[in-house]
Amino acid sequence: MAEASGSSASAPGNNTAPSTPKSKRPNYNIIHANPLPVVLYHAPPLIPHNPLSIIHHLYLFFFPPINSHKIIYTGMFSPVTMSVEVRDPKAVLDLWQKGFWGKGSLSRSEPTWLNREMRRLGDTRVGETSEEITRKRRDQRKEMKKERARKEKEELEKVKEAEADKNINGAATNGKPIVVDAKVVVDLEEELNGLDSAANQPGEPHKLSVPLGLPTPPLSVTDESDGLDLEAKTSTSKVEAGPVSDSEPSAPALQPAKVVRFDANTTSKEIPVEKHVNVKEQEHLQLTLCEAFFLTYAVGVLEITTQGSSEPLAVSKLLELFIRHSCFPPLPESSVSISALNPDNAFLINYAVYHHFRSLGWVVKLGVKFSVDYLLYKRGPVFTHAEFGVLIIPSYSRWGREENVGKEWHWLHSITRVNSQVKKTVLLVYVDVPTADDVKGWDTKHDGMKALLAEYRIREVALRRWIPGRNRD
Amino acid sequence: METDGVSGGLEDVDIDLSDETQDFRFLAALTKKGGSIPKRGEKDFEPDGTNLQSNSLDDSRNAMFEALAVERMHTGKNRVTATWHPSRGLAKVHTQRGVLFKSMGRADKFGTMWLLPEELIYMVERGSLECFYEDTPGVIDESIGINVPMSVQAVYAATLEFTGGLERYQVYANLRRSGYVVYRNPDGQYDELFKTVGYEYKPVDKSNQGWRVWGLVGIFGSLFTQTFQSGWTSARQGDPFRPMIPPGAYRTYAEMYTRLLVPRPPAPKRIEGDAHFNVTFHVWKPRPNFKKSAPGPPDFHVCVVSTKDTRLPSLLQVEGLFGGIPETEDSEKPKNMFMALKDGRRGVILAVVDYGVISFMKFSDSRFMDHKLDVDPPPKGAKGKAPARNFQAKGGQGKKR
Amino acid sequence: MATADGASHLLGLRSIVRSNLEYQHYWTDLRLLNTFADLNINAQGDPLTRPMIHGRPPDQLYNPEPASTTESSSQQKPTPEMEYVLPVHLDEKLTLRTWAAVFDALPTPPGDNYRKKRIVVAVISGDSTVVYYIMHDGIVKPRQN
Repeated sequence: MAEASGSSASAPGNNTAPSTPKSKRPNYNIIHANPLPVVLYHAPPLIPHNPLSIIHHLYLFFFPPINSHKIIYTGMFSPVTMSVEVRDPKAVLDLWQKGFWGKGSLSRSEPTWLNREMRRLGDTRVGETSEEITRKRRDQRKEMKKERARKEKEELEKVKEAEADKNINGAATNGKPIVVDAKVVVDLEEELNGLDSAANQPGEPHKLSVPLGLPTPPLSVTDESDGLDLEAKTSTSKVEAGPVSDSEPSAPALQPAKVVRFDANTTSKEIPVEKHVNVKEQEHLQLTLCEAFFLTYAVGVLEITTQGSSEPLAVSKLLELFIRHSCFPPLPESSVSISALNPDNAFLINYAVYHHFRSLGWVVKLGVKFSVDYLLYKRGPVFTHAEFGVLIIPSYSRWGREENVGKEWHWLHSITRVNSQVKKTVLLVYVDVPTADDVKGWDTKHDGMKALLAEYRIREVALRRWIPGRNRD
Repeated sequence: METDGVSGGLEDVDIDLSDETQDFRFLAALTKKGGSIPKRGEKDFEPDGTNLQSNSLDDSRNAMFEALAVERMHTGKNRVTATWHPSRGLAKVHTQRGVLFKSMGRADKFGTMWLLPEELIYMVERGSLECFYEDTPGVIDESIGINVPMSVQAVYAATLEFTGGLERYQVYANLRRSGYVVYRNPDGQYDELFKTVGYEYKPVDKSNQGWRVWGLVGIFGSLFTQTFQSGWTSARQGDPFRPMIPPGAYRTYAEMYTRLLVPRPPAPKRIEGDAHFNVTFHVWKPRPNFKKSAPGPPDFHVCVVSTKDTRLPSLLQVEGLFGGIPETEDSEKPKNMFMALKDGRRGVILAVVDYGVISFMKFSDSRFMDHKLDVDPPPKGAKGKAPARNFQAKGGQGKKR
Repeated sequence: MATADGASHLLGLRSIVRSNLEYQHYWTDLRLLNTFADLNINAQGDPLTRPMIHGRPPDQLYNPEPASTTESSSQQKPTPEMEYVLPVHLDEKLTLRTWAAVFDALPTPPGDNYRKKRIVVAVISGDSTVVYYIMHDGIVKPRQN
């Protein structure tokens, strides 16, 4: 996400991302240069006066090396999460960096749990993660709101006091208006809004005006058997001061200099403190069924296994499995048949839409937090906010079903309301679902899957609130 | 990066003052001499027991009563009268006076001005016109007609059904009060006079151009066979699950994305009209030189629906709605891709009336197929954000019609 | 592995939420609730309609009347209250009966006019996002700030 300054570049285990020495902010254009985890072919430089080079080039022109699918990644289908899990760190990093596939199961998007945990336990090698920045912002907002509540209460007391005086003094102050300082409240309101809009600027480095560094929580060694393996190299009491020094290369860019000086003065003897913590990874990269199917079938860079077998599933088996697991609780085994397919199933409808937008170059993510089915990002979540929120509307014109069975208007109003507050445009994506007859025999045809997808006709309708007072010019 | 729902940063364009409950002190302040408009302040959360709060509530309530108690009357000078003709469903204007007729009513070839029922109610309601029942022959003397004036209630009772329902009148009045010029969609009018219009309003039958893109299916197809394919893929001929991007040598990502495209035939077109989802009004922005004889193409097409008997339109209903609206010309297309996607090539405004509360929503025909994103990395040396270049995948297909 | 039996999938949902609460949100004192006896020592050991979790958030969750608006924020915070968490899946169709059964099983909070019964609904979606909603058994006063 946009605040991820420093996060992807600073993970000690998988520090393959090029980090620019000058700025703390990694160059996302380089890290995320590839939109797919597939390799491009670059012809060697042509040396015109060298006949060998020309022959080589001619040869390469007609018989280019087949090198696009250098790495085939592996994921495992999990019936518990009803998704595909990737655990190999190299695969996790690649899939995130090249096309923003999946989501860290314990993070908001990019897997950062390990980093967060190490920082939480005081590891000095790890930089700040986007989750921490969000948390700070939220803490700040909480403080602001508290302050506002306090001011409001003060004002109320003032009014009550004045009114009590008036009652006692009678005519003496009668007619004199009571002045209420509404400005204080409004100022706070503006500040709150300012916080939000600052957070909304994806390209801006985060300058927090209020130094609200997270205090490092005391180490809890309560649950060592449960995955936490703490191994502090220095004594914990020193670490609690919040060890940040100028020389520390991965010191978070956000720590205000003032705090650093303060630390240097008071704890100069202990600094620089270096602390290493070992934490067992609890997080995996989770691919949605649509992402997994796209990577396997369309791109061909992912193999998917199931529990207890290392043999990757055939795409047809995968389709069957995914159709069964696209509802809750999942459909029983052998309830889905590929050759006698019912096209009205959640997986194929969702996948048709997912594939549609992916193939046009959008990065497509689930949008449950914004009450939509998908979010569409241009280039990817580290570059821009999602511009569109997609609502999938299955349509049954070929089924001869009666009209006017759509969602209620208030349902749509609440969704457009939520999305306009975060400046997203709601997109109704109508999917005209084929009947079983329309797709009969698809599984015996060459490129039958593609023909099947083509039967799901798609039409996008963008929604915008229209206010008469603002469209007169 | 997402502000997870709680955001104060409402875009100016999304704030609609009419959403707020009316504070009638605003009105009182305007009508009283020297009054100033009170500033919008914080909303009260709950009764706090102060006189300050209860006094301002009282003030507001009294202001409302005062506003409602004002006597509404016609001024003698500008008195306009008309007669309601139930057989025709129109009102005949006796004498035209006032600025409203510049954008209301329509004159027949004899120069007689006729008003639609919604125009009539609107004018009666705002006190610009007095309406009479049609002359009924007198009981005693046949030659003396008795002119009985209609009350506002009577006008509503007699004419509302001719407007097509209360919701339509509510939307009409709302748009008029906001300053727009509103005429009925000439299609399906009961009176010949309002069927004829002086402008082109129907789409020139380039029928559903957007779907022409699919004519390019052939180009995609040929691309498939043309490009170098490895022996590995040819071994899998007849495979329904042949990967869309077979292993090979690709020089650009756009090349791969072209292979990911799924050509789709056009969605079914609706032929017959829909009872609810059709264009109700043609709407023009207020402009000083508006001529009702030659208004030019409307700025907006408005479809009035009620929450009582409609839900979110189906695909066929949406197709039907868009089918009746001309597309914007290429030259008028917004340059910015996001704007182009949000506005679409044509749009219709749905006025959803929920027991008197109107929400306007613009439905736009977006056509994402026409706007493929750039997928290849920006040129070397680019710092920070890549320049917002325009899509047009390197392959360049799928754009031309 | 279990077949498509509803109960085993509900346990699957719970294991996701449990790990999410512990590792992403730092809840403590987590306890799995399977039967009525887990909620109330005097109750029978019949299984609950839906498996749940009992646990303590790092900070007090929603509280319409914040206790300390006046005192400085740096004061020592009171221990956050324990909460009941109900895992559900985004694609589930839940009915009023489901909710009623869940609430009916819960013990009445102490000092019952102070607080309505409440649960934290954990909605799981396919990309591993868990969205948490607080749900009360009845109407509560909204928060002012």
